[in-house]
Amino acid sequence: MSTTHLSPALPDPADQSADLVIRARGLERRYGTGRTAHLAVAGIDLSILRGELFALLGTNGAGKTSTLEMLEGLARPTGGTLAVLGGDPFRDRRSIRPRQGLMLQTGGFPADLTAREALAMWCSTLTRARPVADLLEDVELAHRASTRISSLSGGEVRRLDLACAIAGDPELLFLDEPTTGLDPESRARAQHLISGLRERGTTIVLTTHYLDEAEALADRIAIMHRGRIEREGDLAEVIAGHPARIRFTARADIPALPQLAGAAQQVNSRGAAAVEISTDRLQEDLGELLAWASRHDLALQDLDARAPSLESVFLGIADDTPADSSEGISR
Amino acid sequence: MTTVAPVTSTASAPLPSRRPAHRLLGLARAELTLLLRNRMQLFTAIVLPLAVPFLYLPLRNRGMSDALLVGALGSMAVMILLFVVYYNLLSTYVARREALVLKRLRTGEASDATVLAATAVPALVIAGAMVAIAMTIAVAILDLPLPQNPLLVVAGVVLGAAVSVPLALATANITRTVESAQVTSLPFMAIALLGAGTALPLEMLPDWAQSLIAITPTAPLVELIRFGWLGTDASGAAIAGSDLATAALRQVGILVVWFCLGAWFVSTRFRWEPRG
Repeated sequence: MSTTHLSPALPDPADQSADLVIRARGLERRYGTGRTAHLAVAGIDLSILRGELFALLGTNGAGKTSTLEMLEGLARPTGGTLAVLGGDPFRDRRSIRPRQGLMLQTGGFPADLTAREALAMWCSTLTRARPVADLLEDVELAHRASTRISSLSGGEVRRLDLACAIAGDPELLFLDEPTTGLDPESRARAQHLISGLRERGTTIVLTTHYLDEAEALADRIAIMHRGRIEREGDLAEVIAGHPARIRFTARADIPALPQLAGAAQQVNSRGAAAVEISTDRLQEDLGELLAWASRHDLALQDLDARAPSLESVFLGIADDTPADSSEGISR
Repeated sequence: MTTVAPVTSTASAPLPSRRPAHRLLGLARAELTLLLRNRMQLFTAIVLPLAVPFLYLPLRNRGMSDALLVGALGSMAVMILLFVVYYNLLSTYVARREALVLKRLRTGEASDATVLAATAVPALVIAGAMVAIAMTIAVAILDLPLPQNPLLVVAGVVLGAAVSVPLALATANITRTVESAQVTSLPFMAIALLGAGTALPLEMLPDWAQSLIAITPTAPLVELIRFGWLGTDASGAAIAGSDLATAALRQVGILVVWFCLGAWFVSTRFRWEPRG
């Protein structure tokens, strides 16, 4: 079950009078039936407020895409209640779609159309389409307008995806890994564009494997794991309560560790000791440890002391995952 | 089961919806651009149908009757629809699905029906034009009379073309790649040619087989062309008045049933994304 933490700058999502754009309770998505059934989303609660940028994070297979598909109206939930822009996104697609924009993780264009033609085709289906030339300017593809899709780079196609998502000037924007495949410069520009949309009041639901992107852009963050939301709140709230870590290696016959506030774990292997200390009092324990090493004339190799971060929280949650599904995390 | 939770929202008033016809034309315009840029598809759609009437020239020179030649015209229309609409669209739908274009379009405001119909519009328009041109050429070079009831001829061609669209979509469900369409299209092609009387003379077959073939999607098209052109049935007997109306309605009914079956299948079973 999800926990709800609140950003001080935003209204309380639990407050029924708050301006909720998305409200999900016990949302569930099950694939298959009987013994082969797989519960991809295991009854999550979500409250997303108008004008906020909400980042949904998780390892591959955590249930992010299944959750997004339900919020976007592309898949019908198998359980729970869901309201997006005041309606059922699956049933009320006709009334909700003109107010939302979607950037899929993978969505194609006909290879023989030019960038301008592809965007014009998309805009022809929208109720409130912005001018194609403006959109191409926004995603810095104006100079490639007459280039066929087949000749665009992966990053340029991704930017065209973004142009399609914002073409209808949506109130609610779903961005599924919008900067994947972009070079650092394009990524920074895309992030700037996303920030600008948020400042103009667009509600944005973002998934990304770039944790720094979530840190920089999101008002609130949720971390999914095995179909559930493990953490939710603003950055400080997500990190709060997660311990700092001190790691080092030394020779295997080290003397007993000093009395520390945190919990230490020592693993001896091939004549060396690998020590990891989890602590809420990083500075004090680190000082104590360095004094202990000095007293015993010990060299602490690969000494690494880290304050809690989104990455450490994320990896702490992901560590509970089978090894093959913790891929794809970038910083 | 999903239920809509009551939500307090300051949602803005619903936007005036753009008309489906506008969306259809916008998507169809892009589809036409793509068709014009694909030389192979363009050749199949335009050059091939123009050559078909000349295939019947030796038959006229051997003294084939008008009745048989009009039957051949029906077969010609079936062939044009098969290549310009059915096969062309089968390849197009598979290509768009594999390139995730259908998936993208489905996330937009256009309805599923609009997305699929828009893809078919250029092929349908070209097929209609090519059937008309090919029939005009056939009338000129085969020295055939003009149709007695052009409305029945048009109804046959229009309904035949319309039926080809859901059948192409249904075949796309079992077609993984554009290349494999060459194989997956064969069963329907064979049935269609059999129904059109192109594969073998139907009178050679037992009655039960003829009855079965009469309800294939292409047989009614040929019948309607016969009714409309010479006012005769498959046996060459003249048919008019209420008999003609009843017979024509029966053929129209068969085509409508095929269209409805195809549309139902597509609306419930169509595969919008590549297999995982």
